[in-house]
Formats: sequence, C-alpha cells, structure tokens
Amino acid sequence: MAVYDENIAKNPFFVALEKLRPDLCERVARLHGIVLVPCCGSLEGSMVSQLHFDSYVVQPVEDGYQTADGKEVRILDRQVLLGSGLPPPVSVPILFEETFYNAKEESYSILCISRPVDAAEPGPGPEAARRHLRSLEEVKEFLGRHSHKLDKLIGNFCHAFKEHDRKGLRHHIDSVHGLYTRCLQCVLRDCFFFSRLGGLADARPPCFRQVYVHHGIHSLIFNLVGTLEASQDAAFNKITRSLHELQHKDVGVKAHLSINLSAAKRELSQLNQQTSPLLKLLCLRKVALTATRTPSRAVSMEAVCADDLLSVILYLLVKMEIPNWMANLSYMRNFCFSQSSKDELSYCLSTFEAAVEYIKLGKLQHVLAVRSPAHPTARS
Amino acid sequence: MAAAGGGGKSFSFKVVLLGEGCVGKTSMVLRYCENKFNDKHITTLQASFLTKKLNITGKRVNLAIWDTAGQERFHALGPIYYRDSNGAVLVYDITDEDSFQKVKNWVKELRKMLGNDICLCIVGNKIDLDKDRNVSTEEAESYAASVGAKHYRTSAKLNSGIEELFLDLCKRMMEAAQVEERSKGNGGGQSASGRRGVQIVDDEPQAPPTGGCCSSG
Repeated sequence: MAVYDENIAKNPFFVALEKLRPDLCERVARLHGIVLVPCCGSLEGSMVSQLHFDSYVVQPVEDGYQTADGKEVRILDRQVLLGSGLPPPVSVPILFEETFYNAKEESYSILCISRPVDAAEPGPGPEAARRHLRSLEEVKEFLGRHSHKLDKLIGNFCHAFKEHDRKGLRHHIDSVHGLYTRCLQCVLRDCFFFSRLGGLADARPPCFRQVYVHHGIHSLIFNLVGTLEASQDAAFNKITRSLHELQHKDVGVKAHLSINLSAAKRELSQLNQQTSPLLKLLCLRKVALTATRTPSRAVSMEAVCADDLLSVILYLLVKMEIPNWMANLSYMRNFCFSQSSKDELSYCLSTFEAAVEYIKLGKLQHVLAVRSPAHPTARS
Repeated sequence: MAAAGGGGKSFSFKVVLLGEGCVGKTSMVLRYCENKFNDKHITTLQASFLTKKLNITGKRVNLAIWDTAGQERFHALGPIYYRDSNGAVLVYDITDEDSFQKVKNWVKELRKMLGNDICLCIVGNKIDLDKDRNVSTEEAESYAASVGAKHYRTSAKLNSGIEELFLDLCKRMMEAAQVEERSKGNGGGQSASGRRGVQIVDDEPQAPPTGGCCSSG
C-alpha cells in the first residue's frame, strides 16, 4: 500500500550522521542496532549537524535497547518510546523501517520517525498531513476546477467509444490507457496542482486519476467487460449454484477464522457498488483483511497463510452470489494501470483469481460428491 | 525509459514462497519480516503477503514475499501466484524426504513456465532437527547445482540462516535485473519480456508519461 517513503541515503540527517560520526555508524552496524532517522520533511529549517546524534543511535543491551547516550528505548505500537518512566517522556511515531547492509554485510535497522526526538512539539507529522484519496468525493474535492477539464476529456472518450464498441478488449485497454495519459498531462500542466501532489501519500498521480476517470467511464467499460465475460460468468454461476450445500469445513476453513465470515460477506457485498478498478481492489483487500482477523493481537503462532486465506475466499465466492465475478476480475486485471503486479492489492486479486479458477476446475463439486455419494446431484 | 546505472534507483522484487504445509515456510518468513523491534505486530494479510525494505550498500530493494497455497489440492493454482516473480524460495523439511521430492516438482514446473529468468533458492529448513535428517545436504546441494539453483540451510526455530538466505537472493536478483537492463539497452529498447521484468523505479518524482511506451500488458 502507498505509505510514507523516502530515500534515507539522501536524508540530510543521515548524510550528516555518516559524515560527522563514522564511529557511530560503524558501531551500530557491528552491534546490529538501530538508527532513528527523522523524516526529511521534519528537518526543514533545523541545523542537522547540531542534532545530538548519540540520541538517535540505538544499541541492544541485556534486556532491551538504549541510545548511545544511555537513554532507555522501547518500541510499541509503531512508536519509539524514549526514556524510562510511565508515561515515557518522549514518544515518536515510526513511519517505516528499512534494513541496511554495509560493505561488510553487517546489518542494522533504520527507523524513519516523524520528527526529531528532541523536538518537543508533536506537530502534525507527515502522515497526518498527507492524504489518501480513496473515495470519489475526496478525489473530486482534490481536483477542484480541474474536474471540468477532465470531464470534457471523459465526455469525448465516451462519445468516441460508441463508434468502437465492437472492437476487442485489447483496443479498449489501450484507449482507456490513452485517456489516462491525457488526463494526467492535463492536470500536470498546472504547476500549482503539481505542488499539491507533493502532499499526497499516494504521490503517484494515477491514484486519483483512476478513481475519477473510471467513475466517468465505468458504465461503458464495465458493461463491455460484462458482455465479453457473460458466457464465462454464466458457466461459473452454474457451478456455484450447484454448491449451495457446501459448508465451511468442506472447503477447509479453519475454525478460528469462521467467526469472521459474516463480516467478510458484508464487505464483499460492496464490490459491485465500486466503480473504479482501484476501489474494487481495495474492497477485495478489505474482505481479505476482515476474513483473516484473529481475535488476539499475538498472531505469530496462528499466522494466516495462503492456504487459510484461499479457503476462506473459496467459501465466500460460493456463498455470496455475486453474479459477475469474471467481469469484475477482468475489469480489475486489465483496467487498473497504476498498480504494480507485485503489491498487496495484486496479491489479493491473485488470491481471488486462484479461488475462481479452483471452482471452475470443478474441485468443489468433487468435494460435495465425495461427502455425500448417495446425494442425487452428486456426480461420480 | 531505460534507467541510467547507479544512483537513486530502487529495485522492486516479487519472491514466491513454495513448499508443503508442514515444512515451516510460514514461520521462516515471519522470522524474517517480523522483527525484534516490532512487538510481533504482523501487518496486513499477516503471513501470506509480507514486504521488507532493504538497502544493500546504497541500493534500495523493495521485497514483496508471496506465500502460495501449498496444499496438494491447490497445486494447479500455482501459476496464478508465481507469474511475474523474480525469485522463488522452495522450502523442504530436512526430516521429510517427501517434501524434498515436492520441491523437485516445483523446480521442474518453474523452469518450464518461467525459464531461467527466475532466481531459485532451495532451502532445507529445520536444521535444528539434524539427528532426524532424511535428506542429505550433499544430495540437496548437488541437486540444486544441477538445476541452477542455490541451496541454503535454515532453522526458523533458531532463527538461523534466514537473513543470509534473503540477502543472498536479493543480490542475485539485483544482478539478474542489471543484466536484463543492459541487454535491453543493447537491444534498442525493445522490451520483449514486457511486464515480467523487474521494475526499476526512480526515486525522483516521475515526469508525466508522454508516449505509449508504458505498456500495461
């Protein structure tokens, strides 16, 4: 997911630390310790060379960690807690972690934190200032007057679409991609707009573009995909209908996950209300997260692996009666241009695709047939 | 958009985790991604999708580790998980001969489907149970060498060998990515391999794409 990121090697604090205190850098690597690095946005206007570097270098001690100048350090709930006592005198949010390897292959951790530890005021950190644009309304507000220009481009596209609606999927993928590019160029021509983009957590412009553009062309494109996939959907629905007797233990849903099923169903019921492929993917992610929630936070022993997740998704697919799975999957796979094929949303999509494939292969019908061989609908 | 060598680029790699259910692949990857500082707070999809940021002598690597459904009944779904991956970690249990055979089957399949583009790691886990060993290290190592893979020995229980395994894999994937970059440069920018390649992302804000070169395949 898009979360805060920066290149630590270019962070002014880290650069100064490496230059001015090679002794500390060498020691932290040797001891596999931690360096706390204030994010670059929080350093504006401060003299990094005057920060007290020893408070930022953390090394393991007998039963925990302490800074090079002897303060106790704990890490809890994505916060660095500095100093002893309850509540601890200083707590700073962690933005991300990165493992560094030096030339000797000694490793140490970087924790990028939202502000310098000796800055007293916990002003709005970048994570508060940065926004995620995840709903149509937010995107509209963000686009402001640009939305009219985009509307015009989208209008032209819709007009042209009617003349080409008999062309194949490939043609439409390319033409939607072209529309994306034009919309991006249109908004980026405006310098003011570009500067606002800097404040976005999803600094990649495609995110808002996707949500907005796809809202405009959703009915055309999704209908087209629906038509192309209609026979596949019909065949798939025929299979799932024959599986209505299936119980969660038949698909191998773990007992401790079965309590999440109804909440996960509620999330999944939102799928066809989402218009853009990105919003649909976010819906699938929410389903997966809901379905694999474990009651206690100590999950590492009962970790949810791919088999567990897939079993739950299989059950949901059979029980949910979403009539257009093929159309939805094709829409998400083919029209979500900004998505990397390696990120978490892609993992969720692959899990759903795997579940659909499994059902299409007839494996669950086989399970039912084995379970009740005397049943009239059972096939051998 | 061939990225110039060196400097501020970062690699983005997908690694799939393959192996039978009981070989300990989940605890292995949890060991790697959970860490002592993070009070067992496993994020998001927990053990099935994990990410890790690395910086190896100045080069940034974003690693996405995909667990794959390992139960026999899900075998046919493998390609959905391992497409587009840059590396595969194939785990067997050193006390379980059968799990080693399964790894061999996966290797065959991966080589057939993805060719030599994917970096393979064959991992003998549970070396803390050496007295019950049923797969000899020599056999596993010579098998790995014969299929162009590397062999590693780990113990998720003792947290041994795991960090080294992933560091080594990352270095191999970086090398492979750079070779691919260079050959692309020589081939006049024709990206024949399409989206299978690694993404090399510049850290600087991207200029708006101007042409149709970013095919989305």
